[in-house]
Amino acid sequence: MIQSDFPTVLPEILLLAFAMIALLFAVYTGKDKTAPMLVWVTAALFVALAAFISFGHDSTRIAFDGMFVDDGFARFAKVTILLSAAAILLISQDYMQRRDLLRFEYPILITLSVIGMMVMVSAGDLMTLYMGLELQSLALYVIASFRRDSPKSTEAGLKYFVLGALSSGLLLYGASLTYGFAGTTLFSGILSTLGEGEIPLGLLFGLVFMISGLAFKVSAAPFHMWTPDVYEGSPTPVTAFFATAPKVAAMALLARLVQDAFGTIPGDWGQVLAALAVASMFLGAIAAIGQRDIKRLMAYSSIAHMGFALVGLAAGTAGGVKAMLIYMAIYVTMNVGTFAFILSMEKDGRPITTIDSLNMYSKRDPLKALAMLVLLFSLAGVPPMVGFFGKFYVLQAAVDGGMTWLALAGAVASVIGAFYYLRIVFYMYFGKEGDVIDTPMVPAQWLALVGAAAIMVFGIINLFGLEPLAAMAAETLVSP
Amino acid sequence: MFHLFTHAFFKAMLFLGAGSVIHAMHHEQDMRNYGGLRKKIPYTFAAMLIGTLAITGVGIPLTHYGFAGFLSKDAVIESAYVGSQYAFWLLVIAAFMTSFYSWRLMFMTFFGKPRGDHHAYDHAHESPKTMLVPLGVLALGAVFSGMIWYNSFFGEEDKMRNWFGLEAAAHGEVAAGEQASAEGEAAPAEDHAAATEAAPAEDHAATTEAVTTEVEAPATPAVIGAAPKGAIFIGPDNHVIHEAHNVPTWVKLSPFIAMVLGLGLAIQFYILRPDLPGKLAAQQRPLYLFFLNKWYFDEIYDFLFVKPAKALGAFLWRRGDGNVIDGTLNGVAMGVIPMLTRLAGRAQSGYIFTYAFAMVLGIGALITWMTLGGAN
Amino acid sequence: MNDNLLSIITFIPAVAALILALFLRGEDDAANRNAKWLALLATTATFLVSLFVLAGFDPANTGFQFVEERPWILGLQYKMGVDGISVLFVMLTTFLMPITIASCWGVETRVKEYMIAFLMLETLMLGVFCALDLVLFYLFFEAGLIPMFLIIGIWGGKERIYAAFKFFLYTFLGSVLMLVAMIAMYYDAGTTDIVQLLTHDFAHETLGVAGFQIVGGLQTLLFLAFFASFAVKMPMWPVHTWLPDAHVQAPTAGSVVLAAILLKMGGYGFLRFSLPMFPVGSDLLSPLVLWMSAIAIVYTSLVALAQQDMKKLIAYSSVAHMGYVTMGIFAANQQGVDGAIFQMISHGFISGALFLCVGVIYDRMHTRDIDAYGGLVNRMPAYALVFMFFTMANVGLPGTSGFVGEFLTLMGIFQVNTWVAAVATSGVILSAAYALWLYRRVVFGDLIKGALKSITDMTSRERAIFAPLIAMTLLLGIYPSLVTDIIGPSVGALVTDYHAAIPEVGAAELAME
Repeated sequence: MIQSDFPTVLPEILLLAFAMIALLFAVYTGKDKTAPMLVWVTAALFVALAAFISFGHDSTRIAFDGMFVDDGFARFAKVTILLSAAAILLISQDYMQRRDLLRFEYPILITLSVIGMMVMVSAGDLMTLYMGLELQSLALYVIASFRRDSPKSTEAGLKYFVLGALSSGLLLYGASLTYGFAGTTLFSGILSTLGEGEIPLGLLFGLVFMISGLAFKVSAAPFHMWTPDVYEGSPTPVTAFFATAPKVAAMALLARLVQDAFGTIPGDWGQVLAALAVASMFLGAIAAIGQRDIKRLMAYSSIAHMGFALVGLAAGTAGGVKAMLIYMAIYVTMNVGTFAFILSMEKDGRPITTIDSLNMYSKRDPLKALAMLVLLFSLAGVPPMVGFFGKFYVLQAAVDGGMTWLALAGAVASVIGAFYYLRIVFYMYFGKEGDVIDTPMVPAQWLALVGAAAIMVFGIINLFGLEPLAAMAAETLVSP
Repeated sequence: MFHLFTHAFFKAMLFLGAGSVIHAMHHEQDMRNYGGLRKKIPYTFAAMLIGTLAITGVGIPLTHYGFAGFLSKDAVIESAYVGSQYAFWLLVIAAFMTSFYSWRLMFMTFFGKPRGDHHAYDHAHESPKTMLVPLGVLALGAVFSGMIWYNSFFGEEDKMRNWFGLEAAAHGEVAAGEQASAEGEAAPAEDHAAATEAAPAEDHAATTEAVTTEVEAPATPAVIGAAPKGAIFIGPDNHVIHEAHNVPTWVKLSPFIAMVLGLGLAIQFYILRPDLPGKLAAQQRPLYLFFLNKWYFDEIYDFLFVKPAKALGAFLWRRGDGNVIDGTLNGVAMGVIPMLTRLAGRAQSGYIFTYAFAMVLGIGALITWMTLGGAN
Repeated sequence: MNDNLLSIITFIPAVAALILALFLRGEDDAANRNAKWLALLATTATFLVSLFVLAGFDPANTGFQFVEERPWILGLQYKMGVDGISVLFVMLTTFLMPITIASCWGVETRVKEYMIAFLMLETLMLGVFCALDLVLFYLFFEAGLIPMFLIIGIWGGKERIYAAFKFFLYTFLGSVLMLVAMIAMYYDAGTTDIVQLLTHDFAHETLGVAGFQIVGGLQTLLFLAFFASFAVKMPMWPVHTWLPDAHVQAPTAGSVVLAAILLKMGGYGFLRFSLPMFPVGSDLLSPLVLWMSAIAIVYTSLVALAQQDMKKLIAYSSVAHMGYVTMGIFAANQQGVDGAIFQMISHGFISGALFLCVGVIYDRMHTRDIDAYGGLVNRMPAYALVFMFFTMANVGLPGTSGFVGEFLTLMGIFQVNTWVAAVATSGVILSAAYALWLYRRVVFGDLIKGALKSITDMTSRERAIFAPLIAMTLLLGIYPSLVTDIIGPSVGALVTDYHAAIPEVGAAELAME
């Protein structure tokens, strides 16, 4: 039994073993001196695993009696998570090192949270779901307060922890309600009890509570309140990490929950997701306008983007899931590039995150400014950047799913949202002459920034074959 | 149309001539300061003379020999006679007036004693060749264009229709309508003076700065000659032109008589009795001023049309564009949204309990919605 | 070569921009000069190659020509092609771009980026006119905002930030609505191929949405969404207010491109999408559009009268002229649509030239305030002549192309709605008033302003820029069939199909009742 399950969870087990060994190794050798090396090794392992997962088998396998599912959808999400985590590790190493933040625990904690995420996206049972989620979250609570001597960082970690606990509570409450009414925690079991007729109110409550708990993780409004504070307070590399991999994982988990466990009543959760989506898109767009700090701005930006991803999910179709996957992949790429730039922003050796410090940056470094320009327009969803296709797919999914009003709302929100991205462009290109910040970059950061920008431009040719992959992944999830 | 065509020649020529005179007189434009220029600038004088002869319509009555204006104006007047007696008399009076003021111009400018600045007079000189050559060309046109093209306009209706390319006639009613009304208005107005031709704006352009008209003028005949096909349409049952050939002789003579009368009056006033206009003006002071100010047309136009139009434009711009349209859109963009932004900012208090409260509120709202409405 | 001629002309400028971006280093004079020459070379090459398109174009064929088709992501396709309606817009673009590049020879700041922006813009504009796939069209249509945003924002005047943002957000709002409509079309028709969509019969049964009964159903909604985008782009009253701001703040070359080509995308969009794809919606709403156009003509002409800024005046005049275009298009008959296209082409030359005229004196005096000028004729006779010519063309003097366009559209509209025609005709008088008044105040009068005493006449470069524009304006004015012969058959097919679609619907609705 266990033996047959083992190959299915092989990537997770490998990572777990690596985390343990790395921990022991670092503790008994050079401690923090080993950290740079560990970062590289971890990143390399992530990439290797991603390659292993994507080029491995392509069937759907189930382990532990359906509690763990390894299907195309999970693989797609895992590859995205692993690659983005690796990229974040690489671009953050220099920053952490120069500010004396690079503890050896950092790559290990990241590894642990990545394991949590991988479990999340493969969850086939409420128990697995909760286990993965908590593993991921606990690691994240710690790295949010990684800069122990900074009150802001500590505050961020604490806030995240307390509110995260609340959301976990909501999730657990919803899970127990569901269990109470369905009599099982297996997704497939829940689905079969739903049947055709009237849905018990308790099950509905359970669904709403669980969605709310997960909405906290993807920072969808109105469960988003922690995001700006935590983004701002955490060290920038951690913020970058928050903005990428965990979002993918939580979004994928949400998709799996609603599709696998509640797939027969898309009308019900579609409504909830649509409401969350509209709230997130507008809140993200409107609240970001007032921001002067680029990290806070990116927080609101990610809230808005999660809103768009939810639009795809709310459609409740395979096309919707595919749109969401594509959207998330594009979103992650854009964020890696953008954060690579934010990480490098400094003046006199001190990190700077205010937007107006970018005044006339384009004169100082035209190439990087151009790359940022591309990324910002892509974030705003202006064609011909790839970011536009993300929006196009989700809006299309919404229209196909009969939610044209949602697509319209998304369209309007994207116009409001365009404003603040444009404002950054405005500072970089039209601003006043003045003190210009430095942006020294290590090759990894430079490559991430320019590479992401290049992907945003040249991706329009065929999205690098992303679309059929996402379509396949979505098929495995939605067609039961 | 024929008149428009020939008119282009001699009007352009008069402008050129006037430009030449003004050039000669160092940009002095008031005729009352001219006088006796005939000897100073003979070529210009000759050209102007031809132009005047043409515009007043000198020719041998009842034949087709005469200056361009003679043929075309007669044609217009004859046609008008067929159309309406009223228009006919107006036109004859207009012809009389034209004759009078044109000759007045000639006499005041080129005959008599210099009345203006002697310095300017002494230094008056003939214009350079660049000005004289076009003058000459146009003078030829003014003399001969009427005779040459008379037949292509009026000879046979078939030919005339060919000239205007009437195959596109089917959708030309608009053109016909416009053309007819335009011609009706334009004919008397043109004969008054270029001054009252159309909008006051054009008026300024034409009279105050005749110098530059030479820039524009040579293009004009080409423009008119190249009227696009289909622009003119004459209904198949329109016999005006045909009948125009068969009007009584006195009608044909009348414009000529009017012209001669105008000439006579001008000679009387400006050659024989140069003091007479002054006396008349003194006697009829208000009338004189009225005429001097071009019937106060400029002022009336200015009052009736230009000022209100500008005021309306300014109003629409500031209130309409500025306040209403931009006000609404920018109001939404710069008022409402920042307000919402501030609201969102205030909600972001930094306190955990606020955040938790928001989450609880959110879940409460979702639950309520699902149970009450959404689930159905 | 014929198979991908359109791609070649579309992407020559982009390739040149890429070369500039990657290989040209430095900020010195030599680099700047190279950038300008390369840009000029590329745009000229584009023009020359585009002549092959014109030469190989068969006007009698009302279908699409030079079609090329490749699969793209998600059932979308990369499909390009031109028909009688679009081919002249392609030509207009390729013709005007070398002139535009030549007109910004005097730019000194960030020359390389400037040239790259214009080259990218040309690629995107050509793409809009050639694209035969909805999403591809949208891609080009929207992407054009980015270089224009930068051109206004970086090289613009004092209020450039406000203008750039206003320009971007206004047009962006219009376009995203269109995007949703496009997705709905895809959903309804199952394809984004414009050729197939043109024959697709979009649903037009009365729909009930949120308690409202929408006559014309889906078609009306789609029409409104497209209208939102194109009306902003045109721009039509009352959503025109971004244009004067953008024009005033944009650098001369930016204004030229904006007025001469970018505005035409709206009109092109109406002809390509609104009329043929949603005939029922168009028919229902055309009275509204016609009256909006008529109001636009009179309203903006009056506003133009009140302007003190030359560029603003010309910008408002552009809005008025675009009013004729929308009027002609929605008259939906041969003369109207012919006239609308003609007017757009001719306005491309004339308004571009007028902005260049303003640019000539702006380069010398650095002000656009009308009161700062006067009596220029004394110092700049050649300039006065050129300016006079284009002022007259703008007014619609017979013999210039401006006349033909106005005349045809008025003729078209007269058959459909006499009242609108009457109102619009009064706009002709107003346009004469503001244009000539502007001319008088700038060029005539005494040269009393001290600063103007030493102003110099046009250089030979400037003369060379105006020469082709004058030639085209005259040529089209005297020999309009150059244009009408090419557009005629396609327009005829469009109009016939349009009218064929409407009575059938009327019968169907009657039957339903």
